[in-house]
Amino acid sequence: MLLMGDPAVVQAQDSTSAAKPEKPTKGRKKATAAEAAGVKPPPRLTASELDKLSADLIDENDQKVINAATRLAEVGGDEALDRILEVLAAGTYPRVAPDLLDAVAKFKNPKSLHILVMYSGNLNFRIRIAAIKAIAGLSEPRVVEILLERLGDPHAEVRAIAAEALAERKETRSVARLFLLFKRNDAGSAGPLGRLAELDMAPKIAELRGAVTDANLAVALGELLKRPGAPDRLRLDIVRTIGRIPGADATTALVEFVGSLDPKDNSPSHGEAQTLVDQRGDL
Amino acid sequence: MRARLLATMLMGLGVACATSADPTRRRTDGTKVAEVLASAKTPAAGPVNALGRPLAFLVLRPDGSPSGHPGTHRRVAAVDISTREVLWNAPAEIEGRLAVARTVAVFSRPDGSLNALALTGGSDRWQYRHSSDAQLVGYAADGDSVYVVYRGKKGGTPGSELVGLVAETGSVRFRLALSAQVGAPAARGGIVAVPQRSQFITLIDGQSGQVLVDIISKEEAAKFVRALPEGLFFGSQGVFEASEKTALGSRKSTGYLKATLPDFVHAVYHYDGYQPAQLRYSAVDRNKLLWRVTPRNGVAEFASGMVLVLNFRFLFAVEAESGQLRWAYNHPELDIAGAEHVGRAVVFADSKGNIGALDLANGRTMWKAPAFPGEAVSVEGATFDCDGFYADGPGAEPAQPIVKVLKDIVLDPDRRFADVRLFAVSRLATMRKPGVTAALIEILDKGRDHELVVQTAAESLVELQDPGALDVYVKAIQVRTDYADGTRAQRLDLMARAVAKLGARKVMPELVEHLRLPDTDPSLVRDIADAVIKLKATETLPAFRDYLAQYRADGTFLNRPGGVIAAAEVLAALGGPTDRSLLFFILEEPKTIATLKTAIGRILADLPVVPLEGSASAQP
Repeated sequence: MLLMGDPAVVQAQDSTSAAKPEKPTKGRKKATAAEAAGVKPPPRLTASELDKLSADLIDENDQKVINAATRLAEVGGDEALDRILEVLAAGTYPRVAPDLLDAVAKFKNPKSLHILVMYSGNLNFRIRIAAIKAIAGLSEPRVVEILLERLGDPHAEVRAIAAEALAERKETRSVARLFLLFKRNDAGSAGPLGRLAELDMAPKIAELRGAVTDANLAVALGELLKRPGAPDRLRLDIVRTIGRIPGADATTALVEFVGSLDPKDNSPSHGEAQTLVDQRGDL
Repeated sequence: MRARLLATMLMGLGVACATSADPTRRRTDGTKVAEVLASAKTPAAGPVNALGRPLAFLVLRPDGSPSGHPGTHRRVAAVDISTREVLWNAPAEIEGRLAVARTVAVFSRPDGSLNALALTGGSDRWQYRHSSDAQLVGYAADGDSVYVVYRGKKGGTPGSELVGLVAETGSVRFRLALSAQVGAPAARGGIVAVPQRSQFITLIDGQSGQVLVDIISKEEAAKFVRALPEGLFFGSQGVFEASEKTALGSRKSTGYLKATLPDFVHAVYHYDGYQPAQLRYSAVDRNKLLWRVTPRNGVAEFASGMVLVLNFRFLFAVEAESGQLRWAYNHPELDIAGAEHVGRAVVFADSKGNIGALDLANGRTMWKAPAFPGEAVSVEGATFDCDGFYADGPGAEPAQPIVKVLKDIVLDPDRRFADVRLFAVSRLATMRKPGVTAALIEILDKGRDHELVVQTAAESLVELQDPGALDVYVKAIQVRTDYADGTRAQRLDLMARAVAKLGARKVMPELVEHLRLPDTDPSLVRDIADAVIKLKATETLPAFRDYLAQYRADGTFLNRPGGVIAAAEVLAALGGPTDRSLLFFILEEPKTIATLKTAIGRILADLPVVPLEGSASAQP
């Protein structure tokens, strides 16, 4: 069994610069925001329960590992997180690593960043996906750089998760790389690009018709259309461009645009979009 | 007997006929050979044509003729290469290569007849058709004369013969019976040379058709004979300058020349005169050697000590003696349809009608321009009459650094030239010039479709040990595989071996950083680890610890454990007691893959015994 005092674990944690295990929190625990808000915190684990869960984390039975990680994440706290991080730092089966990383994600604790970064470059894309999801939940400044780097990941799903996380953060530094991905017809980049790009990029995006799939183009332009503050003349151009794109994605973009507007809005773009939606409905 | 019969027949027709020309019945006389050659008039310098203009004759395919000239026939265009002026452009039922006399250009037609076009205007001047069904073997022009050789069919009459024609009119000047095995002639200064039986070169008076003397090639088949302003030449695997010294065709004579050539070169010194198919413009015109000869202290030498290897789109100037490459030329995208060594320059025409000249001194483009600007033409072949031409013009460019030219050749997307690319990368690798390391790295990056090229570049890179190129290595190592940017990491195994040889420890962290990336193949870790151990780059240990921890239980490493074993070796070699503890932990931990356990057991057993941290007793 892997124990906190094991020199190997200490070595592994040192090597990744992960925070050293904290001392028992007994007697110095401050009230959390949840406690302050009157939400009942989950019951703390006894020492024996913690040891049992720690043992389960390195069990050969995958379900035991997953259950232990889930339980530790529910309980929360640095000690619970440390137990999971120790296992990840020492290495485990790839088949359970994503579950452990999912559990780490729930802590949203910056001390997990280094271990998460380590796994964000794992050869196994499922592990990378879990690591990137967990990283995306952190608010550390370094997170953006990691997400930007993963936009170049060989696996589309990893790229999509990184792109979505950057869009959630409204990280406009990602636009250049998102556009590169979009030009390569990367589906995961379309929505985030539409949400982050400057409005004057609309013609550049529209010019890619034929080079990217209609669905990707419709998604990107549809997101641009929903952006607040866009002049109606630009919206009208985008609506007309989307109108020329065949397929359900284009129709969805128009429907979403119409749905986002006040029904009393009498702008030309609204009218045009409604007309196009009606025409498409007639097809 | 057949020859006598032929002579009698021809005399009966009122045509002067020389004596039988069976060379096996005569003795070779070196002195006589020297006398005959000395009697030849030395051609005037410059073009042969009476216009005195440097001319290129382009043979245009029917489907690629300039606009306004539709038709099913090929066309011949005469272009003055000093002014780029198209003098004329005439339809011609041309099959054989053009030969240029003073006032006409002659060529063979598909029916075996010989046709002459006037050099002024390109009109048909005359046509000569042999009276029998003999096969046209070859023809040559020499000032005011044209000579054509026909080969008699086996068992047929008449036998082979040489016919001397007046260039201006096409009238027959003489006929000469020849042996059955006869090749294409060459003529210079009034002497006609005809190869016979692959062994003899018969020298004949160009006015009378009288056989003067034979040269015998004893050590090498005489497959061609070629006339150049500087003399008559024959040979096959090499070149004999016809002279007293080579009258017996000894390769030991000072008149024998053979260049040291790269392996890929198809050493064609001239067209095979015994192959009528080589009369036509063909791949031979695009894949051959270009050479001239200068006498030096009585010893023949290839002009400037070099031969030019023409290989479809590329020209390589190779030192004849050593085989060293002097310069190279990469013609963009199009095949060179024809090229000629004209003394100080090489003139060429490509398959789309661009013509140009290269300076033989350094390969720079002296000029390059389309013969038919704005028109799509398709050039089948080209003949040049512009000896001594040397002038700059439009499209002139400075000489390109040879490193760049070779790199461009290696990376050329045209997939036909695998052997040329391999040659280019091999030569590049032997050069000690600025930019070689960067070029090899670029080849590694972009030339991945050709495994042998990459392998050669890689091995060369490791062997180069170019300390001045450290920054190049750093930049190359910094490139990561990135889907968005479309970049790919370099061959890190090679980079590792190269920087290890250089002792470039400072690049180790950049190199090892790749271990943290998902695109880094585990098979590369071995070379990276070896480099780290060699250079004692202890600052990289954390990356190896992480690597080992992440993958020690990864079943995908079970059958390919090289990467994790290499990481363990780094920790064992460079790490401290805590790293040993980590290795012991991994050895004992049940999840560790079996192959890694075995390897770590061996690694630890080989380590010198030191006390473990916190332990009073020594452990193995």
